[in-house]
Amino acid sequence: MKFWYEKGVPLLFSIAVALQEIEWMGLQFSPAVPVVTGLFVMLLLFLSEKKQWNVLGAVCIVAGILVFLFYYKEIVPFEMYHLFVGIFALQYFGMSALMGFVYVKFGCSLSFIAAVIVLRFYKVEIQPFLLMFLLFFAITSCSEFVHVSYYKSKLDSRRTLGMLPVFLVMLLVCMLLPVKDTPFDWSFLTDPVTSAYQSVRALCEDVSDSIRGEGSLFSYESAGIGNEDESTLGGTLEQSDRVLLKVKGNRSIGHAVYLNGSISDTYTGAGWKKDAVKESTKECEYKLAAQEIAYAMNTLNYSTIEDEIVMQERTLDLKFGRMRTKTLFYPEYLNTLSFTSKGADINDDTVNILFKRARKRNYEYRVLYKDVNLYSHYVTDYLKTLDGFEYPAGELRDYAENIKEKYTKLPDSLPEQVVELAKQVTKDEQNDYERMKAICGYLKTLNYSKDVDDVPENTDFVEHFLFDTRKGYCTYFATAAAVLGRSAGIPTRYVEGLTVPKDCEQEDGYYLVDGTCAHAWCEAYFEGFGWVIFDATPGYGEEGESVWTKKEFTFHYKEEPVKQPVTPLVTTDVAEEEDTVKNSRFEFWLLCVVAVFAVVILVVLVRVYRYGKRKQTQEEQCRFAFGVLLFYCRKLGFTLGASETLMEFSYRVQIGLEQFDLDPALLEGASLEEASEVYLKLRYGACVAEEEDLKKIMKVVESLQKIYRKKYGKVRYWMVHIESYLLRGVV
Amino acid sequence: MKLVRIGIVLGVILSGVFVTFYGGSIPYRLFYFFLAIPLLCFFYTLYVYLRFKVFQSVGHKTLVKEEAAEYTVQVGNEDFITYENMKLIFYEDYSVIQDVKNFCEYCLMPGEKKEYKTTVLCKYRGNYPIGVKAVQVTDFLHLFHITYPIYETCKVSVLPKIVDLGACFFLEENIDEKRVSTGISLEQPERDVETRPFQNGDDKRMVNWKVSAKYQELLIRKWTGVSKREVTLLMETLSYDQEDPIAFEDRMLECILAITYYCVKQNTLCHVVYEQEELRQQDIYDYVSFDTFYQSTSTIFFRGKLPMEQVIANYPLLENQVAVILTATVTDSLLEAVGEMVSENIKAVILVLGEKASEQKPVVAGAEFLFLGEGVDLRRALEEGDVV
Repeated sequence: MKFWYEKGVPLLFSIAVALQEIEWMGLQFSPAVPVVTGLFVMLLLFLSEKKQWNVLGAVCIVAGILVFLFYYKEIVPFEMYHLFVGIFALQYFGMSALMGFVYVKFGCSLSFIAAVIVLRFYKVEIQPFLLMFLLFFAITSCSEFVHVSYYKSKLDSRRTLGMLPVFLVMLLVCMLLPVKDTPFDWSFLTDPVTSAYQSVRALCEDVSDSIRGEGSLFSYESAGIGNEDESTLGGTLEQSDRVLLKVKGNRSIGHAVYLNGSISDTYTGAGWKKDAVKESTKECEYKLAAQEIAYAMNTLNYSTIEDEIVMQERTLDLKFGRMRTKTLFYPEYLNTLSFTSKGADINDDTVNILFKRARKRNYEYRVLYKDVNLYSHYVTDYLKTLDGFEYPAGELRDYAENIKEKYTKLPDSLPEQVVELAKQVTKDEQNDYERMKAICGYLKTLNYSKDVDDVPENTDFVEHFLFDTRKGYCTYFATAAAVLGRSAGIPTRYVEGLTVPKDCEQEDGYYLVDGTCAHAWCEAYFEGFGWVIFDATPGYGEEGESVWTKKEFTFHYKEEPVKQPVTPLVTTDVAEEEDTVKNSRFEFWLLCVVAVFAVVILVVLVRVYRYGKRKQTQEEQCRFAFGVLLFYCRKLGFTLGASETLMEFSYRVQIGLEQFDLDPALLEGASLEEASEVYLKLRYGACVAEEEDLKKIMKVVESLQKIYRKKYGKVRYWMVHIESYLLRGVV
Repeated sequence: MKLVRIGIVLGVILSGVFVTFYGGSIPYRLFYFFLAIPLLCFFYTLYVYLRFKVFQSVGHKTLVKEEAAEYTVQVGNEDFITYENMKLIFYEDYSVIQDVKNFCEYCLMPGEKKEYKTTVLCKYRGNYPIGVKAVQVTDFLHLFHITYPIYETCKVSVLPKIVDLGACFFLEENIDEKRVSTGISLEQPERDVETRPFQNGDDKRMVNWKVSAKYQELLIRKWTGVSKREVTLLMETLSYDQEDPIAFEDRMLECILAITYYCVKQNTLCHVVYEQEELRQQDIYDYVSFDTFYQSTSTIFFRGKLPMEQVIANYPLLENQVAVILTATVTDSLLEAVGEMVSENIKAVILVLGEKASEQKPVVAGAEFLFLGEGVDLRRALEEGDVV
């Protein structure tokens, strides 16, 4: 059992660290490699413990051949792998050396915990297995330390083995308790009533969501929890006031921000379907859109515009509120996504970016996007010039063609009077942008009302809105704008999402986006620019241009580093940053290895020191001194022959030393033969060693030391001296 | 292990601060880890207490005060986890376990058993538990020492010790049986050297064959009764407000036992009168009856209501008897009662067993007073009739 404890714990440690290294160093090793290697090492140690040398040798040869055959080519060329293997071995032997020293082990465990905390400050996450092992090591060593201090006796490893079930239970508890990416919420202590109320409410909502089977995709009507690919519009609207999303910008926004939730492309006459948007392209849609806007900005040469802000890079931190959905909300002209909370598994093949699993409250992510000033006359002028524009042949061109084909389709059942109305509204306009503006202008003259009757069967939704009721809410206006736009030949799409009004309620620096902020709008496509928001709902999209003037621009938030670790999607800058982090981790790890190595050396020295300090009997001292004597003889080139007696050997050495042509004073009073006699007497004569005997042997040893120093110099003498000191137990 | 406690408290505080400002696996797990330690330590002690096995046995269930008896204690860990620290807490008020320090604390490995044999010495008579009273379990970090009681205690009956008197100062003189008719017994016949002719009905074992052969006539030994005073011991069982009531009670019982045992040895009939809810009389005339009384002493309680003068009044004493009165204090009414006894030709011996002797020795003509306070050598006092 002692064997399994003293060898098993270092092995577990090494495997845990090795798995972490594989992740940090980005090695191509399978996690099974360190585990299998560790088990193999364990087998070797077990065989050596049992003194099964033949089996051990056979196993080593077989393993060596296998490694050579299968891994040689892969392992040898890369220095990193050598380092990895070296570190693994060093860890193992370092930890094995530690196992015998309770106090050192305790100190090391504390330093491990400190290192883990430091790593956290550097935003370096470590694997749960390693963390658990370190905690296990900490509690074990602490317990051993306490035991040894209390009983003042040597530690029995059975005691620790007997404690393992207790420690494992504790680790299990630590593992099972929930971990959040946000700091611990103490509100259950500071405000227990509210906290309890919120917990119960959240629980009820979760249960309710699970019963209803919701939690898939965002939709306007269900305010965050819909699941349809096809929606039917119309009817009275009831909006909830629960906070769906919390949004924080890195700087003052000053105008409403539209966050896309659900984008639909096919108008059915009664609602919208997601047909084309489900088809994936070669490149992510949002990245193509980013390329388009970058192209447009470059064409505009926006950086040279001084009197107005045309475009700004902005960051938004979005945090889920009381909502459970797969929908990832993002602003137009998205550049980068990064995930503060765990779980970066998303599907961004289509324009509707979705999480693979539904996310719920407190899930947090960050978007970096280009906030384009659509009110800028530079932009509007540019948009007006885009009629007939075509990208050069390439990916963007294909993308634009595809959009123009799919986003202009209308159902055959669309009444003619709708098309006629579109033509009539846009007849005086010169370009698509102005046509869309005219359509929005026309629609804004209609009444806004949430209390609307259901659309009668077999009646077109837009026709019913435009010609019968002439009142509705955002979905009515957005749908009508999209359909009228398409009727005018402009590619449009229907978007449902959330808007962050500029006068939005705030809490802890976050804008609180509740159910009343759910909104729908229309977007029109302009080749050479991308999708442009046209909000036809009265009261929306009417902010003045003043917020974009440079003189009124003020920083609302300071640029602060985000506390939470961010898992970035792969972009060039981020990849470079990642490399830097990796390098710094590697350096950090190398430092750790050096520290472990230093500890090992320290342990060995302490061990040797303690061995030297232990109380020896006179006989032990004599035997040890004679061992040193033989050691120096060997160093001087005299090795005891297999069939040679000690006396013969002494005589041979005595003669040999005289040939060194040494100062006779060096050997004065010291006789190797006498020393040998003393040793033989003690070894075979059952005599009790006396101080005189020891002196005789020591005299010879000192003489031999002098001879060695004289012959080989001080440096080599000291090296050999240290060697003799280290080999005390052996000689 | 104050340092460990401080360390854990600091750990909880610092990890709490850490987790208040940082999220993620490391701060949370560290926080849980430090929080879990004290909880786990507590549950560990509870578990160990529930699973810990302790067996104890005493040589006999009935022991004699201040006589060493064999005591064996066995502790065992039949579990798969280590019992870090177990401390056995023994009953120490009434009994003393020899060399208790050598085996009161353990660290038991899984499957380990330990057995210790020693002796136990009971300090007082009575029925009470001895041996292991409770077990103190310490957790693996020595954060908590939780003491749990042992429900299966080892109960023994402890009898008072018997002081074997060589003489008794108030029982040495015999009385002239011709002058008295009551209060004497003839239970101990002694051989007379004189003989008389055998008569029908005489016991053949009494024939003196040697003399009969000499005189050619069946002669039988003459036997003469030796008159001895009967002894009545009147024991007061009031509950006095003593500093050490148990020691007082023991002293009183030991005193009675010493006298009765001496009487048994001397073939003197004696009666012990004491109150146990009602006035009870126990006649002691041989070793069997003495043993019966002796065995009952462990259960005699001292919660009586009758003071000695009332005991005397309620118990009819015969003329010429020796009345040994054992009381805690001497009161005027008692002195009066004693005076009456003496006047009725009853020899009164008053043994006062209170803690301190009164400064003025009470005087009643014909009565003897002896103070047997705490620390008095009973044997010497009763043999010589004086306290040194």
